[in-house]
Amino acid sequence: MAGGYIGKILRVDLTKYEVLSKPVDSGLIETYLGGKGFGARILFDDVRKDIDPLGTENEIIFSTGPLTGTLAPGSSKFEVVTKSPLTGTFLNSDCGGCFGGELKFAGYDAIVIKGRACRPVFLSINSGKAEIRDAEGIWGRKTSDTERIIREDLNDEEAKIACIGPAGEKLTRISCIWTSRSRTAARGGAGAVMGSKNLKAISVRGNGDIKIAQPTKFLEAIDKVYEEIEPLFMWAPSIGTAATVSIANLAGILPTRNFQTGVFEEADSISHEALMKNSTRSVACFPCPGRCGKLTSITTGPYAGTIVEVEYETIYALGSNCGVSSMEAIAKANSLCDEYGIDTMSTGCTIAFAMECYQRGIIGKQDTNGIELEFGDHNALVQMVEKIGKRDGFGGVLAEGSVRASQIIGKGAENYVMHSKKLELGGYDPRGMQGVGLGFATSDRGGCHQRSAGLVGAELLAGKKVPADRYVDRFEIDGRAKLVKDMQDWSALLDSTGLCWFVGSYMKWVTVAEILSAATGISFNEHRLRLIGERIWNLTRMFNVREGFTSKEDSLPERFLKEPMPEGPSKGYVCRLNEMLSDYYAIRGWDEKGIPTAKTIKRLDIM
Amino acid sequence: MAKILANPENCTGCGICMLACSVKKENVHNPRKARVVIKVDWPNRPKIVVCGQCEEPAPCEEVCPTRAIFRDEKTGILTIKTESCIGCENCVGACTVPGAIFMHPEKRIAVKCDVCGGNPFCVKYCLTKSLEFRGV
Repeated sequence: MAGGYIGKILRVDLTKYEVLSKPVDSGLIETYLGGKGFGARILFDDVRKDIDPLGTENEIIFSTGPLTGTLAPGSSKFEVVTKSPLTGTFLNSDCGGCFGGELKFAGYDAIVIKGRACRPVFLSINSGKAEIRDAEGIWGRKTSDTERIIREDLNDEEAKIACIGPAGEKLTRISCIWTSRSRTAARGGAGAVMGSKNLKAISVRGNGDIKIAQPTKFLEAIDKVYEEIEPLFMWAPSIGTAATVSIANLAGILPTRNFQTGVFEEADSISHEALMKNSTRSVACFPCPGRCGKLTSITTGPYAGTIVEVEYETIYALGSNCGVSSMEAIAKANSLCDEYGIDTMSTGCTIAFAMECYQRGIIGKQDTNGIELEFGDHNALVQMVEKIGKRDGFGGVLAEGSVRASQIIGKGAENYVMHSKKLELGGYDPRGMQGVGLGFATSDRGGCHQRSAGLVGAELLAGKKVPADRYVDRFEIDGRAKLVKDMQDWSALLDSTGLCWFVGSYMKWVTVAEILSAATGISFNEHRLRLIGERIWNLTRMFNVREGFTSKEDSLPERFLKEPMPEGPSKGYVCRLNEMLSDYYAIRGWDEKGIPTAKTIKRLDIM
Repeated sequence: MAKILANPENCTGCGICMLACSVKKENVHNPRKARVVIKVDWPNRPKIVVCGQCEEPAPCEEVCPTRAIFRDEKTGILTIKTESCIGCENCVGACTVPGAIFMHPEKRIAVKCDVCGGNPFCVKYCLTKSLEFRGV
């Protein structure tokens, strides 16, 4: 077996109560690497078109990369891969924390789960031994309770847990999978897929080794990469991702009141300075030197007792996008999301959507169980988060995500949903960041900022934290399609190694090739890695094409295309998506409908 | 004497030290074979477990029936002569820092931190200085 890998995949059929250990195919390693790549290939091959994401036929895959759990900095990640119940697309939702590495120590590179248990169960894996155990007693429990009870049940305080909260059990389409150390595979509703399988949790623990093919070369490559990621240490340890609040606001692209504007007049109250007033210390994933997590402890006021790690996307979604300027309320809402097991981003954005409906009189108090759902009202925010978590009253409508909620509400509410392919957007108004707009529209899992995350640095942080050769003018579209393509391929590659994007973004292709070659013993170079990234991106595209997605869905809300930004440094701009899109398809080797051509498929050796 | 000083107030719980240790000592990535252990119970502060190279008399040294544990005269580091260890676990029970000396999961002999002979690998990777080396 190539170094870095354990060499085994656990296949679980919950309908049959069957667990089977299968060897990892070496061909899969050479062509799809691991993580997202493994998941994409397995899901594409195993499931048919048009299956119900919440039916027994859907699979949910937990997949590590060859670097997960190694000395490669930021190698905390594993990927949850499934067909999304929120978007109907391919989904990979990645997660840091400590679960990924432990899965490998427990003896597996990946777990592939299908079927449906006849009653609530959890999967326990300990040093290669896997068993399906009863979870009747923990069904209905919140996430941190679930972790505690399973650890007691297994008599193992070091067991690492991935679980769903009450929201995932209730098939909430914006539910997440929560893991030990409070890190989540948040986006796309993977929690509901676990819920649909009656799978409450997975526990992993093990004494196993990860072996490296060329240890001396590996350590040399690691030394080199530590020099390369030096810029990470300028912000991650000290201020974390919340630093983006002020930067985004100064650029006039901080989504505010459901993307009605890009300037939030109270941005200072939700900036990293405001967060740091409550922050007690920095927290890291295993094994990451970046320590971007800021543990926030609220000690006074109505939300006293809240302890949570707040990051930028959560601050934007639950904060400025809802017009909320109370950092304490954002922390409380974040904590509720974690405990019920819902995605902070989709939750915040769906509430922001409902607030705009309320503002415009499309809904009123009679629809919202008496809650005055006004922008800026932090009490309303916190109450509504809890209702979504419980699927209680109007919360049950919003639990379906913003697009489905708008269809239930009707009366033109559809015009105020800020999404792409039904996924609520990342925290950057695309009118002031052209490339981010193209990235949202063409992301394989819907409106995600991470698939072309480098653009946030390139377009937003120009002159601040990124090397000068990576700046681009955020209002220009020349060359943007090529940049988006390169970044998407890069993200697909990173998501298949086990590296975190925050750390990986500072690495060069050639350095990652060196680390991977030393770790695995397989000779990787930049060209080969670029091909793997592009192959994975095209395979997930083919998954979506098979589901009926075409260029029609590579879209953004009208607001970004037709309503110029009303104020601030991005005033007057719209997102010129359609001009970029045809360039993008051409560069990708896709036809005008956004479908990879036969030539592209053949070049990438996909089918 | 030479030892590793633990400053848990700086520790982020990243656990890189455990991997560095297992790579150096065992040539594998495996926290369960590491001579330094970071216990994370989020959201509480992590705990650092590592041998403090006790002053005389060291409990582990005292209870070892085969004198497999001895103190290096030059450095003062408590060291285990692996070929003499019979796996009785007396030292594990006697140690005042639970987990600082433990049974190797496969070899079934006692293992503990020997400060890599004076150039500890874990310290090199600890960017927060939660682990510091103090020389002789």
